[in-house]
Amino acid sequence: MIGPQTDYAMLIASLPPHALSLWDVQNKSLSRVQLDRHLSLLRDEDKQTLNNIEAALHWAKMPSIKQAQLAAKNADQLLSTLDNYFLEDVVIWRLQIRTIMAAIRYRKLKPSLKEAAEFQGYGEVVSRIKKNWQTEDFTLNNRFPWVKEANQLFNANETVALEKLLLNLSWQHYEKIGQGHYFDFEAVIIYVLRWDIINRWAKNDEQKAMQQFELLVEQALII
Amino acid sequence: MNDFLLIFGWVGLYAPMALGAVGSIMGCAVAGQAAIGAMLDTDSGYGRYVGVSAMPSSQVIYGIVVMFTLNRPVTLEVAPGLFGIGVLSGLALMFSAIYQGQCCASAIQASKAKPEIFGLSVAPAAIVEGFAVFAFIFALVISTNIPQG
Repeated sequence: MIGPQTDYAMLIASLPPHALSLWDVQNKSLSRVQLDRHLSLLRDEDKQTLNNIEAALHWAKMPSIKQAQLAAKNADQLLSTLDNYFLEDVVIWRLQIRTIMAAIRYRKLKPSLKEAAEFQGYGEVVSRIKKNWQTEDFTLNNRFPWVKEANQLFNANETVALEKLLLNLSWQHYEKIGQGHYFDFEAVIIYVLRWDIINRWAKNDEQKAMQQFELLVEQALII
Repeated sequence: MNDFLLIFGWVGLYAPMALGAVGSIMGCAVAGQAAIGAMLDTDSGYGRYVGVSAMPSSQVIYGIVVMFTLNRPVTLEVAPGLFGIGVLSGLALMFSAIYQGQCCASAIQASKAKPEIFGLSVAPAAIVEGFAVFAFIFALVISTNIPQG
Protein backbone atom coordinates (compact mmCIF):
# COMPACT_ATOMS: atom_id res chain seq x y z
CA MET A 1 0.00 0.00 0.00
CA ILE A 2 2.83 2.39 0.84
CA GLY A 3 5.13 1.58 -2.10
CA PRO A 4 3.27 2.87 -5.19
CA GLN A 5 1.74 5.81 -3.30
CA THR A 6 5.12 7.11 -2.17
CA ASP A 7 6.59 6.50 -5.64
CA TYR A 8 3.90 8.70 -7.16
CA ALA A 9 4.54 11.37 -4.48
CA MET A 10 8.20 11.42 -5.45
CA LEU A 11 7.45 11.54 -9.16
CA ILE A 12 4.82 14.28 -8.90
CA ALA A 13 7.00 16.38 -6.59
CA SER A 14 9.90 16.10 -9.01
CA LEU A 15 7.86 17.52 -11.90
CA PRO A 16 7.64 21.29 -12.41
CA PRO A 17 4.03 22.47 -12.04
CA HIS A 18 2.07 23.46 -15.13
CA ALA A 19 1.05 27.09 -15.62
CA LEU A 20 -2.43 28.06 -14.44
CA SER A 21 -3.53 29.00 -17.93
CA LEU A 22 -2.55 27.23 -21.13
CA TRP A 23 -1.94 30.60 -22.79
CA ASP A 24 0.57 31.61 -20.08
CA VAL A 25 2.86 28.87 -21.30
CA GLN A 26 5.61 30.59 -23.24
CA ASN A 27 7.91 27.61 -23.42
CA LYS A 28 7.61 23.99 -22.53
CA SER A 29 8.83 23.61 -18.96
CA LEU A 30 10.14 20.13 -19.76
CA SER A 31 11.35 18.51 -22.94
CA ARG A 32 10.05 15.03 -23.79
CA VAL A 33 13.44 13.58 -22.93
CA GLN A 34 13.36 15.21 -19.50
CA LEU A 35 9.76 14.12 -18.95
CA ASP A 36 10.60 10.53 -19.89
CA ARG A 37 13.51 10.61 -17.45
CA HIS A 38 11.10 11.56 -14.66
CA LEU A 39 8.56 8.96 -15.80
CA SER A 40 11.21 6.26 -15.50
CA LEU A 41 10.32 6.29 -11.77
CA LEU A 42 7.03 4.58 -12.66
CA ARG A 43 6.59 0.85 -12.34
CA ASP A 44 6.56 -1.13 -15.60
CA GLU A 45 2.81 -1.78 -15.63
CA ASP A 46 2.07 1.91 -15.00
CA LYS A 47 4.45 2.89 -17.80
CA GLN A 48 2.65 0.51 -20.14
CA THR A 49 -0.76 1.93 -19.19
CA LEU A 50 0.48 5.49 -19.67
CA ASN A 51 1.98 4.63 -23.07
CA ASN A 52 -1.25 2.97 -24.20
CA ILE A 53 -3.36 5.96 -23.16
CA GLU A 54 -0.97 8.45 -24.73
CA ALA A 55 -0.80 6.43 -27.94
CA ALA A 56 -4.60 6.29 -28.16
CA LEU A 57 -5.09 9.98 -27.45
CA HIS A 58 -2.07 11.42 -29.21
CA TRP A 59 -2.98 14.18 -31.64
CA ALA A 60 -0.75 12.79 -34.36
CA LYS A 61 -2.56 9.46 -34.17
CA MET A 62 -5.98 10.93 -34.76
CA PRO A 63 -7.41 8.64 -37.45
CA SER A 64 -8.97 9.77 -40.68
CA ILE A 65 -12.70 9.32 -41.21
CA LYS A 66 -12.04 6.11 -43.16
CA GLN A 67 -10.17 4.65 -40.20
CA ALA A 68 -12.87 5.50 -37.66
CA GLN A 69 -14.02 1.90 -37.28
CA LEU A 70 -10.47 0.75 -36.62
CA ALA A 71 -9.95 3.56 -34.11
CA ALA A 72 -13.14 2.61 -32.26
CA LYS A 73 -11.96 -1.01 -32.13
CA ASN A 74 -8.55 0.06 -30.79
CA ALA A 75 -10.25 2.23 -28.19
CA ASP A 76 -12.41 -0.70 -27.07
CA GLN A 77 -9.28 -2.82 -26.74
CA LEU A 78 -7.58 -0.13 -24.65
CA LEU A 79 -10.61 0.32 -22.40
CA SER A 80 -10.83 -3.42 -21.80
CA THR A 81 -7.27 -3.35 -20.43
CA LEU A 82 -7.93 -0.44 -18.05
CA ASP A 83 -9.18 -1.38 -14.60
CA ASN A 84 -9.60 2.19 -13.42
CA TYR A 85 -12.87 4.13 -13.93
CA PHE A 86 -11.07 7.47 -13.81
CA LEU A 87 -8.76 6.53 -16.67
CA GLU A 88 -11.65 5.05 -18.65
CA ASP A 89 -13.48 8.36 -18.32
CA VAL A 90 -10.41 10.29 -19.46
CA VAL A 91 -10.14 8.17 -22.61
CA ILE A 92 -13.88 8.13 -23.38
CA TRP A 93 -14.17 11.91 -22.92
CA ARG A 94 -11.42 12.61 -25.45
CA LEU A 95 -12.72 10.05 -27.93
CA GLN A 96 -16.15 11.65 -27.77
CA ILE A 97 -14.67 15.06 -28.51
CA ARG A 98 -12.92 13.56 -31.50
CA THR A 99 -16.11 11.91 -32.65
CA ILE A 100 -18.00 15.20 -32.49
CA MET A 101 -15.26 17.05 -34.37
CA ALA A 102 -15.11 14.27 -36.95
CA ALA A 103 -18.88 14.58 -37.36
CA ILE A 104 -18.62 18.34 -37.94
CA ARG A 105 -15.99 17.77 -40.62
CA TYR A 106 -17.85 14.87 -42.19
CA ARG A 107 -21.08 16.85 -42.30
CA LYS A 108 -19.40 19.52 -44.38
CA LEU A 109 -18.40 16.88 -46.93
CA LYS A 110 -21.72 15.02 -46.85
CA PRO A 111 -24.47 17.26 -45.56
CA SER A 112 -27.47 15.14 -46.56
CA LEU A 113 -29.32 13.08 -43.96
CA LYS A 114 -28.95 9.90 -46.02
CA GLU A 115 -25.17 10.07 -45.83
CA ALA A 116 -25.23 10.49 -42.07
CA ALA A 117 -25.73 6.72 -41.76
CA GLU A 118 -22.20 6.19 -43.03
CA PHE A 119 -20.71 8.21 -40.19
CA GLN A 120 -18.75 6.22 -37.63
CA GLY A 121 -17.34 7.26 -34.31
CA TYR A 122 -17.00 6.29 -30.71
CA GLY A 123 -19.43 6.33 -27.82
CA GLU A 124 -23.08 6.94 -27.21
CA VAL A 125 -22.96 10.30 -29.00
CA VAL A 126 -22.81 8.60 -32.41
CA SER A 127 -26.49 7.62 -32.55
CA ARG A 128 -27.54 11.10 -31.43
CA ILE A 129 -25.29 12.72 -34.03
CA LYS A 130 -26.80 10.57 -36.80
CA LYS A 131 -30.35 11.34 -35.66
CA ASN A 132 -29.71 15.09 -35.54
CA TRP A 133 -27.32 15.32 -38.45
CA GLN A 134 -28.62 18.61 -39.77
CA THR A 135 -28.96 20.35 -36.41
CA GLU A 136 -26.09 22.76 -35.83
CA ASP A 137 -25.01 21.29 -32.48
CA PHE A 138 -26.41 17.75 -33.05
CA THR A 139 -28.62 18.59 -29.99
CA LEU A 140 -25.56 17.91 -27.84
CA ASN A 141 -25.53 21.43 -26.41
CA ASN A 142 -26.49 20.39 -22.90
CA ARG A 143 -23.66 17.92 -22.50
CA PHE A 144 -21.15 19.59 -24.79
CA PRO A 145 -21.88 23.35 -24.77
CA TRP A 146 -18.88 24.09 -26.99
CA VAL A 147 -20.19 22.19 -30.06
CA LYS A 148 -22.06 25.16 -31.51
CA GLU A 149 -19.04 27.44 -31.22
CA ALA A 150 -16.76 24.77 -32.68
CA ASN A 151 -19.12 24.33 -35.63
CA GLN A 152 -19.25 28.07 -36.25
CA LEU A 153 -15.45 28.37 -36.12
CA PHE A 154 -15.07 25.39 -38.43
CA ASN A 155 -17.51 26.81 -40.98
CA ALA A 156 -15.81 30.21 -40.79
CA ASN A 157 -12.47 28.46 -41.45
CA GLU A 158 -11.07 29.90 -38.20
CA THR A 159 -8.69 27.00 -37.73
CA VAL A 160 -6.43 28.64 -35.14
CA ALA A 161 -9.40 29.73 -33.01
CA LEU A 162 -10.89 26.24 -33.31
CA GLU A 163 -7.60 24.66 -32.28
CA LYS A 164 -7.40 27.01 -29.29
CA LEU A 165 -10.96 26.18 -28.30
CA LEU A 166 -10.33 22.43 -28.37
CA LEU A 167 -6.96 22.63 -26.59
CA ASN A 168 -8.38 24.88 -23.90
CA LEU A 169 -11.36 22.58 -23.51
CA SER A 170 -9.09 19.61 -22.81
CA TRP A 171 -6.80 21.70 -20.59
CA GLN A 172 -9.69 22.84 -18.40
CA HIS A 173 -11.32 19.42 -18.34
CA TYR A 174 -8.11 17.83 -17.10
CA GLU A 175 -7.74 20.54 -14.47
CA LYS A 176 -11.29 19.90 -13.28
CA ILE A 177 -11.07 16.13 -13.07
CA GLY A 178 -7.57 16.36 -11.59
CA GLN A 179 -8.96 17.97 -8.42
CA GLY A 180 -8.54 15.50 -5.58
CA HIS A 181 -5.76 13.60 -7.35
CA TYR A 182 -2.45 14.90 -6.08
CA PHE A 183 -0.06 12.04 -5.44
CA ASP A 184 -1.48 9.08 -7.31
CA PHE A 185 -1.28 7.49 -10.75
CA GLU A 186 -4.25 9.50 -11.97
CA ALA A 187 -2.31 12.70 -11.18
CA VAL A 188 0.60 11.40 -13.28
CA ILE A 189 -1.70 10.64 -16.22
CA ILE A 190 -3.31 14.10 -15.99
CA TYR A 191 0.13 15.74 -15.82
CA VAL A 192 1.34 13.95 -18.94
CA LEU A 193 -1.85 14.63 -20.91
CA ARG A 194 -1.61 18.32 -20.02
CA TRP A 195 2.04 18.25 -21.06
CA ASP A 196 0.89 16.84 -24.40
CA ILE A 197 -1.44 19.83 -24.81
CA ILE A 198 1.37 22.29 -24.02
CA ASN A 199 3.61 20.42 -26.42
CA ARG A 200 0.97 20.60 -29.12
CA TRP A 201 0.54 24.35 -28.65
CA ALA A 202 4.28 25.01 -28.45
CA LYS A 203 4.79 23.01 -31.64
CA ASN A 204 2.21 25.15 -33.39
CA ASP A 205 4.26 28.18 -32.49
CA GLU A 206 7.40 26.48 -33.74
CA GLN A 207 5.72 25.79 -37.06
CA LYS A 208 4.59 29.40 -37.25
CA ALA A 209 8.10 30.57 -36.45
CA MET A 210 9.50 28.31 -39.14
CA GLN A 211 7.07 29.68 -41.73
CA GLN A 212 7.99 33.22 -40.72
CA PHE A 213 11.67 32.33 -40.95
CA GLU A 214 11.23 30.89 -44.47
CA LEU A 215 9.33 33.98 -45.52
CA LEU A 216 12.13 36.22 -44.28
CA VAL A 217 14.73 34.08 -46.06
CA GLU A 218 12.77 34.30 -49.31
CA GLN A 219 12.45 38.06 -48.97
CA ALA A 220 16.17 38.32 -48.31
CA LEU A 221 16.92 36.25 -51.43
CA ILE A 222 14.66 38.46 -53.56
CA ILE A 223 16.39 41.57 -52.31
CA MET B 1 -14.67 -14.95 27.48
CA ASN B 2 -12.52 -13.61 30.29
CA ASP B 3 -9.39 -14.48 28.34
CA PHE B 4 -10.73 -12.54 25.34
CA LEU B 5 -11.36 -9.53 27.52
CA LEU B 6 -7.79 -9.69 28.80
CA ILE B 7 -6.48 -9.96 25.23
CA PHE B 8 -8.51 -6.89 24.25
CA GLY B 9 -7.02 -5.09 27.24
CA TRP B 10 -3.49 -5.84 26.06
CA VAL B 11 -4.42 -4.81 22.51
CA GLY B 12 -5.72 -1.51 23.85
CA LEU B 13 -2.57 -0.97 25.86
CA TYR B 14 -0.25 -1.33 22.87
CA ALA B 15 -2.61 0.10 20.20
CA PRO B 16 -1.74 3.83 20.58
CA MET B 17 1.94 3.09 20.09
CA ALA B 18 1.47 0.56 17.25
CA LEU B 19 -1.18 2.48 15.32
CA GLY B 20 0.66 5.77 15.85
CA ALA B 21 3.82 4.13 14.47
CA VAL B 22 1.94 2.78 11.41
CA GLY B 23 0.56 6.25 10.72
CA SER B 24 3.94 7.91 11.16
CA ILE B 25 5.58 5.38 8.87
CA MET B 26 3.05 6.00 6.11
CA GLY B 27 2.93 9.78 6.57
CA CYS B 28 6.70 10.23 6.69
CA ALA B 29 7.15 7.90 3.72
CA VAL B 30 4.80 9.89 1.47
CA ALA B 31 6.15 13.26 2.59
CA GLY B 32 9.73 11.99 2.50
CA GLN B 33 9.48 10.77 -1.07
CA ALA B 34 7.83 14.02 -2.08
CA ALA B 35 10.83 15.80 -0.50
CA ILE B 36 13.21 13.63 -2.51
CA GLY B 37 11.24 14.36 -5.67
CA ALA B 38 11.36 18.10 -4.96
CA MET B 39 15.13 17.89 -4.52
CA LEU B 40 15.39 16.56 -8.07
CA ASP B 41 13.76 19.71 -9.40
CA THR B 42 15.36 22.40 -7.21
CA ASP B 43 18.82 23.65 -6.35
CA SER B 44 18.20 24.78 -2.77
CA GLY B 45 15.88 24.44 0.23
CA TYR B 46 16.60 20.75 0.72
CA GLY B 47 16.75 21.07 4.51
CA ARG B 48 13.27 22.54 4.79
CA TYR B 49 11.81 19.77 2.61
CA VAL B 50 13.28 17.08 4.83
CA GLY B 51 12.22 18.98 7.95
CA VAL B 52 8.60 19.19 6.78
CA SER B 53 8.60 15.54 5.78
CA ALA B 54 9.40 14.57 9.38
CA MET B 55 6.28 16.26 10.77
CA PRO B 56 4.13 13.09 10.88
CA SER B 57 6.63 11.47 13.25
CA SER B 58 5.08 13.24 16.26
CA GLN B 59 2.10 10.85 16.33
CA VAL B 60 4.23 7.90 17.34
CA ILE B 61 5.58 9.95 20.26
CA TYR B 62 2.04 10.78 21.36
CA GLY B 63 1.23 7.07 21.05
CA ILE B 64 4.15 6.12 23.27
CA VAL B 65 3.05 8.62 25.94
CA VAL B 66 -0.57 7.35 25.84
CA MET B 67 0.70 3.77 26.09
CA PHE B 68 2.74 4.57 29.19
CA THR B 69 -0.19 6.44 30.70
CA LEU B 70 -2.47 3.45 30.15
CA ASN B 71 0.17 1.03 31.40
CA ARG B 72 -1.11 -0.89 34.44
CA PRO B 73 -1.83 -4.50 35.32
CA VAL B 74 -4.43 -5.76 32.83
CA THR B 75 -7.42 -7.12 34.72
CA LEU B 76 -11.02 -7.84 33.77
CA GLU B 77 -12.00 -4.60 35.41
CA VAL B 78 -9.66 -2.33 33.40
CA ALA B 79 -9.47 -4.24 30.09
CA PRO B 80 -12.56 -2.66 28.40
CA GLY B 81 -11.37 0.85 29.28
CA LEU B 82 -7.86 0.15 28.01
CA PHE B 83 -9.25 -1.28 24.79
CA GLY B 84 -11.63 1.60 24.11
CA ILE B 85 -9.23 4.44 24.83
CA GLY B 86 -6.18 2.70 23.39
CA VAL B 87 -7.68 1.62 20.07
CA LEU B 88 -9.64 4.79 19.40
CA SER B 89 -6.78 7.14 20.28
CA GLY B 90 -4.46 4.92 18.20
CA LEU B 91 -6.75 5.12 15.18
CA ALA B 92 -7.01 8.90 15.51
CA LEU B 93 -3.22 9.17 15.69
CA MET B 94 -2.76 6.82 12.74
CA PHE B 95 -5.15 8.62 10.40
CA SER B 96 -3.85 12.04 11.42
CA ALA B 97 -0.28 10.94 10.60
CA ILE B 98 -1.28 9.53 7.19
CA TYR B 99 -3.19 12.62 6.15
CA GLN B 100 -0.60 14.94 7.64
CA GLY B 101 1.94 13.20 5.41
CA GLN B 102 -0.18 14.06 2.38
CA CYS B 103 -0.49 17.68 3.56
CA CYS B 104 3.28 17.81 3.96
CA ALA B 105 3.81 16.36 0.48
CA SER B 106 1.51 19.02 -0.96
CA ALA B 107 3.32 21.73 1.03
CA ILE B 108 6.65 20.54 -0.32
CA GLN B 109 5.39 20.53 -3.89
CA ALA B 110 3.77 23.95 -3.57
CA SER B 111 6.73 25.61 -1.87
CA LYS B 112 9.05 24.14 -4.49
CA ALA B 113 7.25 26.18 -7.15
CA LYS B 114 6.66 29.23 -4.90
CA PRO B 115 9.22 29.33 -2.06
CA GLU B 116 7.58 32.46 -0.60
CA ILE B 117 4.48 30.47 0.47
CA PHE B 118 6.46 27.90 2.44
CA GLY B 119 5.26 29.05 5.86
CA LEU B 120 1.61 29.22 4.84
CA SER B 121 1.74 25.92 2.96
CA VAL B 122 2.66 24.11 6.17
CA ALA B 123 -0.43 25.48 7.97
CA PRO B 124 -2.81 22.66 6.86
CA ALA B 125 -0.35 20.08 8.19
CA ALA B 126 -0.20 22.01 11.48
CA ILE B 127 -4.01 21.99 11.68
CA VAL B 128 -4.05 18.22 11.22
CA GLU B 129 -1.41 18.01 13.96
CA GLY B 130 -3.83 19.94 16.18
CA PHE B 131 -6.41 17.16 15.87
CA ALA B 132 -3.78 14.59 16.80
CA VAL B 133 -2.99 16.69 19.88
CA PHE B 134 -6.70 16.70 20.82
CA ALA B 135 -6.83 12.90 20.57
CA PHE B 136 -3.63 12.66 22.60
CA ILE B 137 -4.59 15.09 25.39
CA PHE B 138 -8.08 13.72 25.90
CA ALA B 139 -6.81 10.15 25.89
CA LEU B 140 -4.56 11.18 28.79
CA VAL B 141 -7.40 12.99 30.56
CA ILE B 142 -9.92 10.19 30.23
CA SER B 143 -7.43 7.47 31.12
CA THR B 144 -7.35 8.82 34.67
CA ASN B 145 -10.85 7.30 35.09
CA ILE B 146 -9.50 3.78 34.57
CA PRO B 147 -8.61 2.17 37.90
CA GLN B 148 -4.93 1.44 38.47
CA GLY B 149 -5.67 -2.32 38.59
